[in-house]
Amino acid sequence: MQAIKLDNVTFEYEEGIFAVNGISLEINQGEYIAVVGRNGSGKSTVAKLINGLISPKSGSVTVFGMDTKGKKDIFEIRKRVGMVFQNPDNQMVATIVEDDIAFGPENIGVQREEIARRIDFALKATNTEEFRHRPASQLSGGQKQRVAIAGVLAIKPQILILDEATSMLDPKGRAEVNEVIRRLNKEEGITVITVTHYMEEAFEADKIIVMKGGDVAFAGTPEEVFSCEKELEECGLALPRATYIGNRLKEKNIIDKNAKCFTAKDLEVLLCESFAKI
Amino acid sequence: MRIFCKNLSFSYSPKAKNPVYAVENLSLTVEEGEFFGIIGHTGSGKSTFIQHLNALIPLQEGQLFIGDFDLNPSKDNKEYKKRLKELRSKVGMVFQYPEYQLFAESVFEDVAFGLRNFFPTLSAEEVSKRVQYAIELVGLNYFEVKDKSPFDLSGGQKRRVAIAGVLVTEPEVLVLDEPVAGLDPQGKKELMDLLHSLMTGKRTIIIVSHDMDEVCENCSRIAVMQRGKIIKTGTPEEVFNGEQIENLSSPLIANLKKSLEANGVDLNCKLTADDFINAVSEEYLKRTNK
Repeated sequence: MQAIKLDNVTFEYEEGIFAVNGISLEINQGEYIAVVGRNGSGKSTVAKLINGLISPKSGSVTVFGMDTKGKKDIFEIRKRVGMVFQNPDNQMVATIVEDDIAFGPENIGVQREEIARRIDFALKATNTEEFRHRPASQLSGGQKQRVAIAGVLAIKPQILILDEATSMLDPKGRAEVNEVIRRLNKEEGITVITVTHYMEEAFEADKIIVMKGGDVAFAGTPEEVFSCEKELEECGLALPRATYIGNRLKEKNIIDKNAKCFTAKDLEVLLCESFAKI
Repeated sequence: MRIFCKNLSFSYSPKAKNPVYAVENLSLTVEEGEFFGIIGHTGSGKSTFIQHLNALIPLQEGQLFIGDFDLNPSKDNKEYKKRLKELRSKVGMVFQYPEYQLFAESVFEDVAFGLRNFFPTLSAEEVSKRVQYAIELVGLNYFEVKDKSPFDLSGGQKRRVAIAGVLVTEPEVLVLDEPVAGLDPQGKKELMDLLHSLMTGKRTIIIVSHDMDEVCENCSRIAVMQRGKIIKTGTPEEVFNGEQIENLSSPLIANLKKSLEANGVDLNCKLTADDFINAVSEEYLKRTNK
């Protein structure tokens, strides 16, 4: 089922300078999408267009058939599209974790008992049960981001957008958050759109959208996208380190040109095989 | 300038009954002209330690010298107060996400701020000469950006302006906390190249990083911090070629080298991508030609 549709959308923050320039794309319910591109390529603008934080200058954005421009549907859209931003410190509204999670459902008038159920669910899904009664200020960055995701889950969204939600975290925090996101996608069927600079992270997605100059440059499965080294470079991006080294060794005929070599594991196995064959 | 640090300990609550040490008994020497990396988890004491280097955190215990400057703040050290300002102009500190610290109306004013504070007697002409120098040093077009609001620039440009504001006093030691965090891959590469281009003369650069591959690509030596202590120091190869360090992921190339070694292929190379690729191809050629 189609969840999101952008049809020839433009947006400008400043007169005449298009942050998004005639973009069209469709995302289905349950998909896990990574959006990559240089700073300023329009990634975050697309994210904000999807839950109606901003309205397109021309073209249309529809979420489950509802137009984000229509005033009557905007709250329904925002209930269905949850968003987590980059800086964990900017997203907490209450001092105590469970109050913070309750903030969203309270705002939309959810019944008290239902709120309690949703808090339980959100804490469990993000693996943050142990922080329930703790002040949010005492948590690490990764823990805070998981609480931020929990706060969004309490609204019961069908779509979760993460705008560089892991970029301020250390590797451990990043791994924790990514695990939660993956589980929400696989087990709860939530559509995930993650905007990221980490190519290794993008590799986890079902599909990668590469953006350049406010439009989609190209898109495909991670393997398809990371097979296009030159095109990625033209977009100011780089391959994951293992893929890059693999490509250089393919050029030198040390590993088989047609072999799949994307991850560190792939590269390790292929290299050892090549030396074993001599 | 050389950095010499011996048995440095620091606690945020030194008067507590059982003080918890954020940095404990730390000894480290960084030579002039090194590109040095400090790695470790969040909470390992990296930030606390680096803030000692320009006396943002005053020394509590142990010794710390930057060049010939003794950072002991006790009354016996008469030089301390007199030369503190000079020290801070010589040791530039770039914090994480420095673009959040931009504040002035124009790029020029932002970059000039520190300079005027450190050297209030400089003539307007000298200030603008130095500001121009710093802005061009970080790869921005002076005449294009000088009158712009720093908030109208892109993320990568903002960060460059923030770094220019530190470079403008011509520091001999440059300390950067996670300098490339949050930048896109090309932005990362450009900024790292910029840092390498600053390694002229006797300048020392220290970066704090979470990214093992990044420190291996860029640093001549690294120190690993854990729970307030330095548990390992050396070249990337010395630090990562041995046993796996507890709670720390290994860089990709160290892992690859180890699995090749387990299969009877010993490579002698640095942990950089280029060096590794060359070493693999040489070894491969050597073996196929036998």
